Amino acid sequence: MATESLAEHSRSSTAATLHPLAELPPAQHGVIQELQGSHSFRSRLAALGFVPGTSVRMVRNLGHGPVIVTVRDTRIALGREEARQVLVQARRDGDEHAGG
Amino acid sequence: MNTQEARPIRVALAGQPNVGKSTVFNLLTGLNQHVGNWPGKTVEQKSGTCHHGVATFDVIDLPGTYSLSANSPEELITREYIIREKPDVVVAVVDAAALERHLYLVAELLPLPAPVIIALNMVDVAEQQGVKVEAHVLEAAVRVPVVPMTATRGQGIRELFARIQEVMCGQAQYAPNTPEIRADHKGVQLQIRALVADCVPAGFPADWVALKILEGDRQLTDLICTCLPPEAWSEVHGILRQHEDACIAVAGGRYEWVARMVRAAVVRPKAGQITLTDRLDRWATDPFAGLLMLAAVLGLAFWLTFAVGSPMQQWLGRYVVHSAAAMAGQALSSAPRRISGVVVDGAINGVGTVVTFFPVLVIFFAVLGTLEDVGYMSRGAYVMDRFMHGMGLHGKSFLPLFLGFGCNVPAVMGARVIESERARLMTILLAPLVPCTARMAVVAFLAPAFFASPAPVSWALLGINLAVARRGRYGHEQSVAGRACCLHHGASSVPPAQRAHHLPGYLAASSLVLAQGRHGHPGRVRHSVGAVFSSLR
Repeated sequence: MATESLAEHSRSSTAATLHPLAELPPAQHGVIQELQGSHSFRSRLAALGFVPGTSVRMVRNLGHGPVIVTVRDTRIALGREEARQVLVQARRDGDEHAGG
Repeated sequence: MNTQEARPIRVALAGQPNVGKSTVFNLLTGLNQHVGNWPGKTVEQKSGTCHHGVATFDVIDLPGTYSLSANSPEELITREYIIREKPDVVVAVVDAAALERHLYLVAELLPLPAPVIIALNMVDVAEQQGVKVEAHVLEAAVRVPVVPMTATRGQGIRELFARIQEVMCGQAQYAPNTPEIRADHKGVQLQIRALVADCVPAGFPADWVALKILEGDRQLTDLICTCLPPEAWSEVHGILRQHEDACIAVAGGRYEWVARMVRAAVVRPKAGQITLTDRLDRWATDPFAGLLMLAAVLGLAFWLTFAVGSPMQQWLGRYVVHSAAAMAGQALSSAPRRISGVVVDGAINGVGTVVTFFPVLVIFFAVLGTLEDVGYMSRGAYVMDRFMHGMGLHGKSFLPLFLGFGCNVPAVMGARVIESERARLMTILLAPLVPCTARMAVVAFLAPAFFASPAPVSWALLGINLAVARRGRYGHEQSVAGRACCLHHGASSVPPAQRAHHLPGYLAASSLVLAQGRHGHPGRVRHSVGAVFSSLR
């Protein structure tokens, strides 16, 4: 749905800084830019829907322990280590596509 | 029709966990089921037969999987079955309320050599959430039959049978809209396809093999490595090294396909609408409220299991086992003591004691199954994750281990709710270290006989037991220092090659899909009861 337009959006604003998903505060939206880590790890995350250009929303982030994010309408709990290896670009609340 | 009468139609059910696949299976086969294990695997296999009209259907329930990579035994079983056994039809059960996620598995199933029918389940739940899925639009887009269903109420099963028979009669028309790798990697896929096309084992579609290799599928890569001549393999290997990020293009291609399919067929509620799941989740995953909720739920599960189960257990012991033993004792009164001892004390009393656990286990699995179905298990696991890490375990291990304080038998058996093989094994090994009520009684009885102040000794024994359980983790931690790829969700596991020396450390890095909970759905209990019986047989 919004995937392609989001991808374009992220390409147009290339200079923005990347943050690990683990640092995204609760209720904030971000767009996945890059996956780090081993090949099988990236493959696994991609299968879960963590593909660059996809919007994520942080549901729960306590600053320690696992985080919960919403990706493609599904809540997924990620270990903190994993969430550090997903790089996102934080988005202002104004231009949100909600839920994505 | 003659051929159909002679040969049963083989139907394979595929779907993600929590999609109501077992309900569809029970609906199709009734009580006519056989439960066993997949050969050589600790994954449950269910099969059954049913008759509809003149046709006979052999239905096999494939394990629940999110995708078809070779990351877990469940995923391997599913794809190997479809490729090697070639079912006549694969019924992909998808959740209408979370179509985007569930179509991902369909995207993986379509390139395999078996016709797919989409069973669009939980249409009622989707409608409650304001999501409307136009089945005929989806059918036109994917170009495979789509059957809307509400399996919990038995709706749509007739249509499903009809569509299966339709596919069987006119297979020539089956031409699905199959997802493709993202355009920028299409050339690479063709290159690899050309290299492997002549050497792939029979039954493996070359396109699919090329795609999977690009995705980084270890099992297929190893397979092709042995099939290809060395020079061709080094060429393939070179291409793979150049395109390490291809896995994202493959998954991305599938998600783009899914987005195209969903765009037309789904009418969604207004963005930002807060659903019941959202509201409940706020509590269920809260670090404090979530713990309280978990304590309440577990307390209730514990209470139900033992308050209802124990009297039934005692009743069984007193009236069934005891009277059977008495009768056998009478019948064998003239027999030598050796024989009557084996029969009365050994077979009847010994085995009988185990049988008396039956009601406790039935209730326990019904409760666990219900919690799993409404999606609470993954929430509880999330809340407990921090604590269970201390023991090198998965959050899901908590419930069975907790039940172990009542009795170790349901604790060990309850470990079957943990999908990851490793976590399951760890939980099974640790469960007997949890002191159960009977053992507490023995400790309380023996301690005063040997020690002047029995209370601290009892507590110390309890503490030592738990400490040993905790200890389980440290021996492994050194060996997993180098863990790098460590994601596992729901039905999860590491690639087989790395399995041996990565016991529980992997568990630390857990990622579970919090299935969209369907709270208070009375019809779904049927599934849990189905699960109860299958687990006890």
